[in-house]
Amino acid sequence: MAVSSAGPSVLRTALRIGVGVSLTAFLVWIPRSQLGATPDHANLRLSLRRAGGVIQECRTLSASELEKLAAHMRRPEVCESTVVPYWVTATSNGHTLLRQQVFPAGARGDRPMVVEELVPIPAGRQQIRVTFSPEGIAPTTDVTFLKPHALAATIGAVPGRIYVVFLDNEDHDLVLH
Amino acid sequence: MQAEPTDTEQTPGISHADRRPEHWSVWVRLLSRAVTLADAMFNRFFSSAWNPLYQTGTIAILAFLVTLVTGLYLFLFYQVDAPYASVLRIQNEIPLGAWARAVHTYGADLSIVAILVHALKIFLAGRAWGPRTIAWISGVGLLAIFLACGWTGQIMAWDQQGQVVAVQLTRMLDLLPIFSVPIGRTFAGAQPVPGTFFFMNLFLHVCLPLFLALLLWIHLVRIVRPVLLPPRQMSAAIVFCLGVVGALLPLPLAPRADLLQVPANVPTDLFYNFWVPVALAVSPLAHLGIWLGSWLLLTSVPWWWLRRQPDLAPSWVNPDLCTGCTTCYLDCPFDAIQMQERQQPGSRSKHVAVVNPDSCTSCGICAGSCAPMGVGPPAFTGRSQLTLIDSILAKPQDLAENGMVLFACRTNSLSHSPALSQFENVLIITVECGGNLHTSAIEQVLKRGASGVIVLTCPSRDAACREGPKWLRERVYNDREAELQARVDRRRVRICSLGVGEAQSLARQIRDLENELAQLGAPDSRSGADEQTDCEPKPVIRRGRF
Repeated sequence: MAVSSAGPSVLRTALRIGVGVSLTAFLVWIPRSQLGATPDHANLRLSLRRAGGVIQECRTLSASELEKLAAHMRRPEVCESTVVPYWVTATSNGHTLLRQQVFPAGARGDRPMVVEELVPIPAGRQQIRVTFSPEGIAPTTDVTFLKPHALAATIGAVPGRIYVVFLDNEDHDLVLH
Repeated sequence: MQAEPTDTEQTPGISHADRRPEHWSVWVRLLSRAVTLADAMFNRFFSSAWNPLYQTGTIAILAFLVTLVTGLYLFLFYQVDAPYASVLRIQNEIPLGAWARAVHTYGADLSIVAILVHALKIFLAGRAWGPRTIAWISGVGLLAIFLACGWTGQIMAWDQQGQVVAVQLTRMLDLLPIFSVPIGRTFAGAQPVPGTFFFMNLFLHVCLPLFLALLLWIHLVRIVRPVLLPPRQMSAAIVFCLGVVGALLPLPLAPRADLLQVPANVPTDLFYNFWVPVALAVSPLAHLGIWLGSWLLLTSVPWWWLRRQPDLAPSWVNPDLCTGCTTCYLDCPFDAIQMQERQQPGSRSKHVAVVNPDSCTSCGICAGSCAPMGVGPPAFTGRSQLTLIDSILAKPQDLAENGMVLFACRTNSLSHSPALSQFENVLIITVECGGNLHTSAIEQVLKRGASGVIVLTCPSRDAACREGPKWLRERVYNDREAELQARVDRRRVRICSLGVGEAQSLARQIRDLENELAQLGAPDSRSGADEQTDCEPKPVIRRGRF
């Protein structure tokens, strides 16, 4: 559109106002954009954190073994650590939703292991089963601190709702929230 | 001391604008065309003097100041132990609360828009290299902090928008090996979000603007006389518009955050949360990769985008001609010229100007500032301009009857405008920048028979060489050093600062000058210009903000 540059005119003023209003409308409209459609399913959030599974096996060194070590490194007992991974599984009405191996965090595996997962589950009545248990442990090992956890519950899953499974700090049992 | 450059180092008359790579990709060409069209539209509607696209940097600062003031007011009523309830109270009960919140948000949005447009224009103009590298990188940092300020502000309200932002950001951050326990656990929903989280968030929201001030200082450190705010009338109009829009269209508050519910149909500020749809669609690792890749790409622009071409040499000072007047030192918009004490005793001045080539952008403004024509990029000195004019106007018939000369800044697209084709008596000579044009060149063409001279420069706020148009006006009309000599009839000289889309204004100005020249009659001399070899005894302007 050709607009005369010769001095202010009604058309020019109207166009200026129009452009200004358009820019302002753009500035106002963008912050009001809608995001996220109405969900048709529920979600199961696994929010688990517990001390890592590290097994130490110690043995006493023989005199000849000690002899081979430098004087300042001679300790009568040496221990070897083994990191024990956990498996977390979640099923709904028998269908597997999640099966995942979890390792303790940290370079030496001495930090807590953490699971943060959000898995969708169908709406309606659902039988939920969650397990969080250590991977096969040798029978001779003292594993009293490597406690397996399990939860079974029935819920009426509402679309959009998030059902949280977490470890209770006191009883160390899985809890559904 | 620099070695004198040879003539072969630079092709006379070739500028930055001519050096853009021919292999520009299609999208860059389209983007460039879109920006030019937008410039033209605003110039036609508002004139180049009021084109907001030429003020994006200063508009960002102004909008930030508006956000700062309204934020301080909101801060008085915000409570970290009841974030949503306190924002709801601000919205519904506190006097001017809803208005302040809306203006706060709209101001922050305007800042982001202005920053993005500013960055886009700088990118397309290829102004991110050399001494501007630090400005570009700090600008990317400013953008990051602005975004972080926005996100922390949205989380402060702890509505569903804040929930989405917090959850998606923490999903990504938890991939970085910096937290011993994933911070995403805070939003698991098994327990309420602790107040310490909101305290930390508030702390960040308040402290990040302090970093903004620091980065802004770094952003402008290499620029002499930076302009921080738009013209007063434009500032007033922007603040007024924000105030009116805030009153008429207060920002609704989304429902309270519920960590046990997937947010749906959440009102989202896409100026800040443009990434959320991507975050919802891809894995956190891919999302993190996109962010890191984008920032790396943005930050490295000075190294992979347009740079100084080998044949565009930096300025050079001829110490034999330098009178130590300091004008080039004062006029340089990038602080690339320093005054140093001369080593040889008995020289004509105690000090001599020295160019730091690393800071020089080859804009040539120093060439226009030097009365004895002893400084400038090799092909753009005042002497080069006189030589060029002598070659173009060697014979009287080289100029039409009552012919005029139009000196056009090379980056100004109007110099190629079809509107100029109607003026057969106008000879167009391109120069690197309006500020690069030496006033002796104006005098020279008048003495060679031109009835009048028009200098077409970029609009002041969009000048590729920053202060070129300003210094040219000072030299022609206000006797700034290297001034247009008093013997030159200024009625025959006109300076037009116009941008793309203002061809009709340019044509009108040429026609007006033609009419005035017709009344003045023919110029009186056809001899060459007297070369000025001495400076005024004192500089006429001091360093500082104008």
